[in-house]
Amino acid sequence: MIVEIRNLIKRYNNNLAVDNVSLTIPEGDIFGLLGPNGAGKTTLINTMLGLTELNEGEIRIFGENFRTSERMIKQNIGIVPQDLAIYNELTAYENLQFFGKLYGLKGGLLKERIEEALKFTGLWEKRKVLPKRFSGGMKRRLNIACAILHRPKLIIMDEPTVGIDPQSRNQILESIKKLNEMGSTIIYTSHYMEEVEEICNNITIIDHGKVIAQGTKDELKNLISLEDRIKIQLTSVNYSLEEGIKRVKGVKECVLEGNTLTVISNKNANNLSGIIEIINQMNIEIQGMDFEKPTLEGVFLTLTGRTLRD
Amino acid sequence: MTILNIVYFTIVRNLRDRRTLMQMMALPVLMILILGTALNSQFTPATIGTSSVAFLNSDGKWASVSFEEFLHLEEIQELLEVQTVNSYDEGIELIEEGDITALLHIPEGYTTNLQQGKDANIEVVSGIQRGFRITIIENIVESYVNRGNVVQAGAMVGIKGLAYDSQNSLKENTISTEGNIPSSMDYYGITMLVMILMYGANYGLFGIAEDFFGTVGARIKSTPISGYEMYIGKTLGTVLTLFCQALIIVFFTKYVYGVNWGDNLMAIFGICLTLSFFTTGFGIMLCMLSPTRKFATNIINLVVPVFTFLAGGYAPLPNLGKVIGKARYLSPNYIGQRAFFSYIYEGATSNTMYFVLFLWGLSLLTMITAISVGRRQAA
Repeated sequence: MIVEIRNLIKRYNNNLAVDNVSLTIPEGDIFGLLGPNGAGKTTLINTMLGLTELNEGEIRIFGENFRTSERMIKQNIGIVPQDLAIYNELTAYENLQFFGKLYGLKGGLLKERIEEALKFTGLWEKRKVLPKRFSGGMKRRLNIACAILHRPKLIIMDEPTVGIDPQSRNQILESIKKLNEMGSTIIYTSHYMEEVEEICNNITIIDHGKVIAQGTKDELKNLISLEDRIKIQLTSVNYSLEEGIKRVKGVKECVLEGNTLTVISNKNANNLSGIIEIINQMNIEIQGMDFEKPTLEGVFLTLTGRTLRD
Repeated sequence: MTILNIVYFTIVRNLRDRRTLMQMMALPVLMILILGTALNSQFTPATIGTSSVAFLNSDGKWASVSFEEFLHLEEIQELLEVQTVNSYDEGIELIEEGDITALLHIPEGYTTNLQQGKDANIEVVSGIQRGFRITIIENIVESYVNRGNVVQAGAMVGIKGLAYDSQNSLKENTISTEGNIPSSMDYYGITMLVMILMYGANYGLFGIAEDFFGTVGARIKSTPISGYEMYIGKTLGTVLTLFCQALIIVFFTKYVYGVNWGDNLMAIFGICLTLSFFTTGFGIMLCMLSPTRKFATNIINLVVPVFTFLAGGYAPLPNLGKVIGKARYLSPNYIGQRAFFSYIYEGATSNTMYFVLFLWGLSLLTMITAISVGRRQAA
C-alpha cells in the first residue's frame, strides 16, 4: 500500500473536520475521494501532506511515518491544489523552474523535466507566456505541470477540473490516465461523480468527515441496487408489447405509459438485445432510450439522503 | 541554493509588478520635487538682525566707561542695539515687556575691584526664554572680558600697548551653510526616501501572505524545503528589492535634483539596507498578526503617514510640547531620518551607528514576532 491512514482525527476548535478516518490506497491506483463540499476531503488531503497537524491517528506514506520521514515523503509527492497555485508574474517555464528547484532539480535535468512536463500538458508552445494570458483550462494544466515535473510516485489532485470547459476537462482526465499508466499513483478528489466514475478504480465516499462507503465502482453501486432500468421512447404502441417484453429473460417488470416503455430487469441481465428484438418484431420504431443504471450519485443519495451537489 | 532560488524569483516577481514599482519610484521622486520646490524658503537661512540690549552703568568710573565705549563700536553696533537705562528696575521692566533681550549691568565698585585685582563681573540679565540672541550677547561680553584680562595681565608684567582692539577680539568669518544644513531638496530627499521605504512593508506583507497562507503556499509547503528556507529566501528577496529601489532613488535625486547624500555613499547604502530589513520585517510581522491581508494593508497605509508626520517628514515640526515631542521617538521614520541627517550634516558617526543599531534591533524584534506567531498559526 502506498498510503495507509489509521484512525485519523482532525479538529478545528469544536468542529470535527475528519472523524476517525481509516483508508488504504494501493500503489498504482487512481483512487477517488468523493464527497460534497465541506465533507472533509481537502482537510484529509492537507493532513496527509503535513499542511495541517493531525490531532490523532497515524499516516504512513511509502511505508514511512510522515512525522519521521517528512522530507523523503514530500520529495515523492506532487500536489495539484483546488485553487491555482502558480505565479502570474512568472512565465510558464519560470514557474516550473522555480518549483522544480524546490524539489532539488537543477541544471540539465531540470530543463529536461520542464520540457517533459510542459509537453505533456500541451503548454510547450506557451512556455514564455505569462499565465495571466492563459485560459482557465491552460492555467489548470500549468497547475498540473508544476506538480508532475519531478516525476512523483504519488500525485494528489484536489478538484483539478473546477470551473473549466468540458474540452479542457476531458484533456485533463486523459492526462491523468496517462500519468497513471506511466507509474504514478493518483488520489483524485472531486464532487463530480462522473469524473470519479470515469477514471478511478477504488473510491471512498466521505461526508461530514466520516467515510460512509469505500470500494470499487461496482461494489459501491451494488450497495444500492439489484435492478437495471431502461426507459424506451416509441413512435407507436401495441397492446401486446408489454406481454412480449415480460417474456424476455431477466425482465422483472414492464410498464407502458403513453409512448414510454419502462423495463425493469435483474441487475446485469444484459437483455437489451432481446427487448429490442421484440419491439422490432412488432414493427415499432424506437425514438430514444434512457438507461437508468445505478450511479455514485445514487449511492450517495441512498446513504446520506442528499445529493453530492446539495 | 534553494534560498538563492527563492531570492532570485522573489526579486523577479516584485520587479515585474510594474504598477507597484511605478508607485514606489514615482511617488518619492515627485514628492521631493514638489515639497522641495514649494517649501524652499523654509530652509533658506535668514539674516538675524541686531539684538536689543539695555546698558546700566552703576560704577561710572574709567573701566566701566571703557566697556560703554566698546558697546558703541561700529562692529558691535552691527550686532547690538544699545539703549541706556537709569535704573536696574527700568532694565528689568524692558526685559519683561520683551523690548530688549538682555540688560548689561556694571555694578558699583567694578573699577575699584579691577584695580585691586579682585573679581569684577559684568552682569548679563535676560528673560527665561533663552535663544540664540542671548548667546550672541554673552559672546560679545565674553570677548571684551577676555581681551580685558589679557591687557591687565600684560600691564602687570610691564607690557604696554595692549588696549582693546576690536580687530583682535572680533574675527569676522563669512558663514556658508551649504553642506552644513540641508536645503529643502536635501531634506525631502531623505524624508521621502524613508517614507517610501516604510511603504515597502507592503512587499513583505504580500510576499508572505501569498507564499505562506495563499494557494501557492500550499504547494510550497508540500515541497521538501523547510519553512525557514522559505522565510529567509522571501525576506532576503524583498529586502533586496527595496534596497535596489532605494539605490535608484538616491542616484536619481543626487544627479538630477542635486540632493546632498554626503561624501560616502557606502554609508548611505548601509542605512538604506538597514531600513529595508526593518520595513520587510515590519510587513511580515503585520501579516502574521493581522486577521486578514486587507487589514494589514490598511494598518500600513494608516501608520506610515502618521510616522512620517511625527518625524517631520512632510514639514519640520516646531516644538509641540513634551508629550508630542517625545512621541516622535515612536516613529521608525524619525530613527531612519536621524541616521541620515546625523551622518551627512552632523558628522556624528557614533550617533548614526546608534540609530542604525536601534533599527537592527527593531528588525530582529519584528522577525522573531513573525516567526513565533507563524509557527502557532501553522499548528
